[in-house]
Amino acid sequence: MKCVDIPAFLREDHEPKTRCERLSAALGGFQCENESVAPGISPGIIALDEPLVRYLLEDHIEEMPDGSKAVKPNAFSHAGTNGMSVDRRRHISNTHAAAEVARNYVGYVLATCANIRDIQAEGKRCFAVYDTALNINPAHADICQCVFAPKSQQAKYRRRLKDVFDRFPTPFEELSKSQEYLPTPPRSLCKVLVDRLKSLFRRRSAG
Amino acid sequence: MNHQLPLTLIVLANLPPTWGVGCDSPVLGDLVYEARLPTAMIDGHPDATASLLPGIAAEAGVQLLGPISPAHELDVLAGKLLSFGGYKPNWDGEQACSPSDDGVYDAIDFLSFLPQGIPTPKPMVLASGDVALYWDDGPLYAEIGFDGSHTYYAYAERPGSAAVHLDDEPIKKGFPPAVLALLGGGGTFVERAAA
Repeated sequence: MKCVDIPAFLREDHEPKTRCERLSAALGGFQCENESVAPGISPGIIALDEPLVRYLLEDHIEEMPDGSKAVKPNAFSHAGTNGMSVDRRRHISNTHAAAEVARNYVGYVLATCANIRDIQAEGKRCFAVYDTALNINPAHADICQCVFAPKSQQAKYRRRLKDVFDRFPTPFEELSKSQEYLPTPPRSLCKVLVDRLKSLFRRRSAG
Repeated sequence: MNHQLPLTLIVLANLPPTWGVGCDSPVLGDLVYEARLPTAMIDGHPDATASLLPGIAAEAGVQLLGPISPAHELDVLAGKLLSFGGYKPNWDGEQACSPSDDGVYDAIDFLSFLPQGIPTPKPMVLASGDVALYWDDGPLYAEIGFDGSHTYYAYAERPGSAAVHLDDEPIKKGFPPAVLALLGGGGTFVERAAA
């Protein structure tokens, strides 16, 4: 399988329960994390320090006895089946955020890409993270489990994944209020624009 | 598989040999134990006329008194588990599988094995459609899941103790003692007697 085939594979019509397991067997490694799997749509490969946002439904949140809310482990169970969708916080667009609200998400939790990729069990990495950008949401990425074992072991991997995300959910509305949330062009793009403006000024001054 | 709601019964333990004529009244805490018996231990319909299966009473030294109302929290939990039966495929908008009826009822059946002295677990449905009960108290975590095959998997960990991994355990084997040990429950009289 080629890396660019990953987004389509994770959205195929066949048995969703085993998509990540079949993907892992087909790839046999983590080489596709080092190139974009959605070139032309994705903002680029995912940097290790990138914060990733996992949106939460009511069913992913548990009410604690003291009235606070905690995230349930099932919020992370898609990583072991058909891929766990996350958004790359630095690339979320306002339009997409509004659409997510419409889908009744009630909160979110954050983790950095490096912490997810660092999760290991018996000396093997447990999860891969791919930049599976969508046309309607270029910030989209997928977390896929890549070691498979009896269910009691998979519960452990899920637990480890949960542990690298925030323990308590942040209300969804906070995402759009956050200053960091506002989409900012990549630094390289800014530099290109500044350089071009400078050269234009230079030409006009010279003319 | 028996698809009944959790059943709580009162069992009366054998009197200790030290209890005798000089005692005005028994200290109930020492003599009467409330235990949720697995339905597999009950002969006939679980009502006042039910009796323990031959061998159980002699083995555990207990007498069946009759059913009492299930604890409210268990009632709520059983209701929540039942509601999972209404989950359709793609219930979360991310192509999650729906739980099977057997998965839901296996979890409900398992409630009858919950020992005394441990917190009531929380229920959840996983993306695979498995139904699971879990306890999450910071460093202490335990999860017991059901996929409808009348077996369960169990995973539990607590700092300083070896993690517990069990797979394909028949539900009729009851609550896993290794998980109970991590959760710190004292167990029911029947479980202590059977240990």
